Amino acid sequence: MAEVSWKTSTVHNVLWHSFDEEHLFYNVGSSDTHLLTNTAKEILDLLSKRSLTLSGLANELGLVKDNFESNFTAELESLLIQLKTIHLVEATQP
Amino acid sequence: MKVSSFSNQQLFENIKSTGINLSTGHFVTKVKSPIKSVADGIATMYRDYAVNLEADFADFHIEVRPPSNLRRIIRPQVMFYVDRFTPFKPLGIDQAFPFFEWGLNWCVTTHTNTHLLIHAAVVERNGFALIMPGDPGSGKSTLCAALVNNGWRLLSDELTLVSLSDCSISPLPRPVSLKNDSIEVIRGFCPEAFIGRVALDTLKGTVAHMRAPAEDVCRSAEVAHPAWVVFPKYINQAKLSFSPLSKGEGAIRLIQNSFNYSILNDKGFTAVTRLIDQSDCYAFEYSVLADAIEHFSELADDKSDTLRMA
Repeated sequence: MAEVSWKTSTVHNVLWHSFDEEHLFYNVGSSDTHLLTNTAKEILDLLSKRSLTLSGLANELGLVKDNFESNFTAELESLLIQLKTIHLVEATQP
Repeated sequence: MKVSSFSNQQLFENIKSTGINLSTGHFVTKVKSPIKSVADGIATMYRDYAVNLEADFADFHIEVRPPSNLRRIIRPQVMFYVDRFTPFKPLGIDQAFPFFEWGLNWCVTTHTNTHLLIHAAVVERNGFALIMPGDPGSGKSTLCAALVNNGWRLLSDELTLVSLSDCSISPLPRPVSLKNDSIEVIRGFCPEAFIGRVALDTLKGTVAHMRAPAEDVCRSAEVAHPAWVVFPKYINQAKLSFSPLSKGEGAIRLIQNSFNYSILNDKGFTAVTRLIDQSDCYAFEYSVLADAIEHFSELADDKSDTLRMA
């Protein structure tokens, strides 16, 4: 079965502000504000350019295969689901 | 002309007939009331504030008066009107002055969109503002009252006004609201503080107001610049604890304490991020006021020393 792809939600007009390793995201349309980690910000940056599968995203994030196959897969997926919950990313069926 | 320029009787007559325009920092409020305790409260708690009897403009038009029904006679009540609209249910007449105070807070929180408005006490020392957001019961007003009587300038005990253009803090020095045990705590800790009449059995428990220092009222046009955002929490018997927060967490907690962040939209976001960029953020737990005061005084003096050396 083909892997699910992930992409950023179609949100226009967003603002970012970075404090060291934390990033404040603001959706001008809804006034929703979220505090994101470096990894979450990096994921959103990558997914805003093109949709990626979990493995594709892991590769783009520069994760070595050993790490990728360990807990990180689950952590990355969990992070994507959290980002989906707050409507920043969405899953697309292949 | 100041409130203290009038005798209590003259002030009452003016408030009762045409009303007075009371200047409190950034706002002018037209107050009208036939209730003597409202005039007496204004005479004692606002004696150092500017008043104008003939000004054309006021930000808020407030009237505090009994309802026009039989409740005037049986267990008399008081109503709060702003622009002839009454946003609250009536209260007992003995709560007339606290009602005026709470109502005026409500006016500011619901009508101010020229500034980012945060539910926070704010005080200033050496030009730097210490912003203390907190839920009711967190001890922010008690801490604020104690700081104000120990070398800090009162900007507000309840409402922090942040400029949308440069993030400066505009003073809104008004009487400091003390509740329940904090009334006696401040009487004991700051014997020189003037605390007005105690109102019992209000919606907020026992309530009294501490008069803002005259000098702080005079300096109400003088803005301050944010330096610290501290989330205080009074915990009985707790040891003093001052824990740094990341700026991100400070920003989120500040937003949670803002009244109009969402309304201001991108301007609110920009104001919050600018304010946090300029500030150090902390969580603060305390039980002994003297320790808290000493800690904050050292914090302010260290910052001034650092800047002098730089």
